[in-house]
Amino acid sequence: MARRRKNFTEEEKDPELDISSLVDVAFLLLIYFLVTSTLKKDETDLSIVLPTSIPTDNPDPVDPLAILIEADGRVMVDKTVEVGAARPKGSKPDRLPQLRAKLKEYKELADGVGSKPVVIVAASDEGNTQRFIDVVNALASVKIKNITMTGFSGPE
Amino acid sequence: MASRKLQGVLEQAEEDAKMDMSPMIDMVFLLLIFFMVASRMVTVRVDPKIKPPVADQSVKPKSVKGRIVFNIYAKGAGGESKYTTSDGSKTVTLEEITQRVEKFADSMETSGTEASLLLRAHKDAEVSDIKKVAKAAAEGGINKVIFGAFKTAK
Repeated sequence: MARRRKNFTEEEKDPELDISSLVDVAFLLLIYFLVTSTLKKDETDLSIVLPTSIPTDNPDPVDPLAILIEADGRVMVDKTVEVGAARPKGSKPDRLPQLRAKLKEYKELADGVGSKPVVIVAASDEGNTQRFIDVVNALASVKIKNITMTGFSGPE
Repeated sequence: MASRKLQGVLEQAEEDAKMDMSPMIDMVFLLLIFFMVASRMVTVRVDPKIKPPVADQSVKPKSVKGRIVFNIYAKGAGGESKYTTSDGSKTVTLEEITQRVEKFADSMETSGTEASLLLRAHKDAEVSDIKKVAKAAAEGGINKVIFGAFKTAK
């Protein structure tokens, strides 16, 4: 009698829940999501500052550099020198090494006389964004941020 | 004799020295649920349909404060332009962009933050659309333009 009672109380004392299976499932889910998920790529910034309409008193001693982006993706400096070949829509980014060399030269010239480099970008309306960004990227490589964009000829 | 009994009791007590984890787990779940409900994600929601161009000179932003975001889609088959607000939920016209930028620039001025325009243009979008949106934003009073880009193509 006594023994039976003892057994009975002991059974009631530790009704333990086995959580190991729960942990198994949790780990399984964790591993599943770790494997299947892809991290979203971070977007980065490429900033330019458009000129304000406030006129400056002192005209810049260096001539502005004009970069022309044609509709087919050709990049010209000062209207005649081709520094980037034509690129069809959907092509990969281009580092434009010739343009970078030209810009470096120009930036050194401007820094030499202590003036701000002035770059005018005239991009054709039909050009694609990647080509335009290639040029802005080349400008960023020599730390030129003040860019004048021309050709704001819309329906307005 | 009594000491043996005591020893027995002590031994049993040591044997059962298990920590009960269930209240702790209860609390952890409670806290987890509380923070899940109470918190709001602060990341900037962006339109996932836009595939930005690649620029290796682009930099990771230090702060994303004071930005107004517009997305520029690649031109559709009919040649129509499409612009949307930050998370792509609302399609806007150029006039609406100017109005929104004006309002945003004013509110940023009162809070003393430099306002800038984040243009998320699709890599195949037309340059004319970038110009139009930049112009619309400039009319609204923001002349700092940031292009959304990827650092690498991969």
